[in-house]
Amino acid sequence: MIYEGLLAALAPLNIGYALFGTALGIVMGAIPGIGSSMTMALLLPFTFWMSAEGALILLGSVYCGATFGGSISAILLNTPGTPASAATSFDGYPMAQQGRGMEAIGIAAMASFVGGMAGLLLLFFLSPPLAEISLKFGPAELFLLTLFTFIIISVTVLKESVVKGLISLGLGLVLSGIGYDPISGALRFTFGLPYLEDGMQLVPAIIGLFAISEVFAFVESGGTISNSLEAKGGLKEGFRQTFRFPGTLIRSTVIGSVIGALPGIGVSAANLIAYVAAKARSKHSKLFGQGAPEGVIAPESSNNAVTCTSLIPTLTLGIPGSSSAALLMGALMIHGLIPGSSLFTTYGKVTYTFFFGLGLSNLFMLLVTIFAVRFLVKVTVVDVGFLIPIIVSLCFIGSYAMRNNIGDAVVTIAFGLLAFVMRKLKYPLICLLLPIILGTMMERGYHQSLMLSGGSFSIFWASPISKVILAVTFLSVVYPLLGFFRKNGKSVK
Amino acid sequence: MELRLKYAESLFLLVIGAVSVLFLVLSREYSAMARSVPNICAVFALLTIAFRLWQIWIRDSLRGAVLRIHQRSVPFILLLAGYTAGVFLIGFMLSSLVFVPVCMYWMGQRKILRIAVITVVYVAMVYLVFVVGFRMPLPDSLVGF
Repeated sequence: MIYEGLLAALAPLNIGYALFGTALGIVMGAIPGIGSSMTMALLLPFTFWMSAEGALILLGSVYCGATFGGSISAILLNTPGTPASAATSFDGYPMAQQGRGMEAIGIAAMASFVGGMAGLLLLFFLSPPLAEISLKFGPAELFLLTLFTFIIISVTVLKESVVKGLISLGLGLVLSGIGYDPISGALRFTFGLPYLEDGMQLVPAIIGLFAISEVFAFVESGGTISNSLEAKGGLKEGFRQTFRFPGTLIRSTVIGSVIGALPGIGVSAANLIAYVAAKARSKHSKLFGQGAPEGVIAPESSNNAVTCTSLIPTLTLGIPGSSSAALLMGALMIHGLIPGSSLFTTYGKVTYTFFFGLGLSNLFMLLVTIFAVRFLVKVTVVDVGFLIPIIVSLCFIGSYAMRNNIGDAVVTIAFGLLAFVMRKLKYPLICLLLPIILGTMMERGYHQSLMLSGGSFSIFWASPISKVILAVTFLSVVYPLLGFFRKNGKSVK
Repeated sequence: MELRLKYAESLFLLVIGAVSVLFLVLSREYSAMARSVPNICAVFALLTIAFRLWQIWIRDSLRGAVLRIHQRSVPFILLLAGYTAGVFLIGFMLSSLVFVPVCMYWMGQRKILRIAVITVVYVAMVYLVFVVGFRMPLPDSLVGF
């Protein structure tokens, strides 16, 4: 069946779908706010007349391509095209400023390829056992996992001022309370505005925080993005750099694979978690934020691993791990395929054709990058006076497009102004963003756990998984506190 | 423009502190379940803000530091506000035809022909790709164009 799948994937039409889907995904992913879900939603009606294999390969390729495409604008313009590439800009953009844009894109492409292929192998061979492990994460474990994510990112991202990270986190947590309560459905903090009923929208928040605030930086700096008109390092150097940090590559791929297999956390958080983990474990952690290759490898390998492993709960349990996975599930069902064991038995040929199609998409991602990167990096030597209005205008389209709501464009500008102030005062933006991504999940996990335990808090340390997460969370809080008191003790002496 | 960092950061902290207090006050109207997590979050935010204010004012950790804001930033905020209002009032296409060249000129570009060509090509591309290609609506004006 696997061999039949391979042969079917190599049919010219399916290769064409994979190439077209990947290229389209890269282009649409690079436009802030458009991303994989919207492109897949726009393409879905066109897939009705296609074969099941072709439809899945086309949509899956868009998914992989868009996840990588978002990193191109993150690297070249400091404007993440998708939430999946928010962390890529932290080191990718400083590399572009140093004239190493091609190298950064090379790293991103190769890390994405490795992450994507590793995720695909897991999807191939470990789908059933990984699906079982993901089922062991109940509401209490998911609540603790989000709590751990918040704390580890707040205390690690800005080592010189943990308090600033925690204040940003606090603000994000407060804002994440806006809208419907995830359990009782009660409306909160909407001030009578219907727009706020659905809570803070992720896409406008990300575009505002990262893209609009960067536009302000362009306005202040003028000139060109790259300080050097000569390109230092090329695509090949980027490919080589990726393998100089095997520990970061493997760790981030594992982080992405595990997070992808857990329904609900998704690609938006995975790249940030992988980045923070890489920074915490790196020998060159002081170089992070200044153009460290590891800072590009970590988010890129993790986010493309997520794209594949997020399909594990989708295909085996019918639980989509992300909105894009949900769209793929929709395409499966349109073609009469029901998630579950039948996908690996009765309809095994379709499933394995799809998997090989994803492999082709990962390969095409590299090829498209090799051919297109020379033209793309030219954007870093264009005067920002030309780029600013075009970026602002694309941000408007991206924030409006998801829900056709002008309020999203206004929220984008509001977040942009907030981010401008925060960047001036050196407050980390990720700590504000993360609760907007995961806040609802944390609150839902908290209430569901207490409902299951009849109000007893012991559920939060009942399972072995909970105990491990709690211990790691405790250590991540205590460690910086010890450093703070040690530093204060020295300054008093 | 230069501001004392101590005052600028304190003002920022007081604003987000006020938002947290407002949420705490408003949450009294909600059920115990609906308000529990937001209350914990607001109290957490207030505690960290209080600690930072203690660092700034009692430990004087920002002594002598200044915050520099470029003179172009404030007019750019007005330009953004104008574009947002323009998109709402006259629609995306017309407001972009005005915003893109004005912004380029304001950023110091003086080649009028190049500005005009880039503007027209960009707006036409946006229309062709999004409206014609993907049948994706762009923001309309109040009067529907």
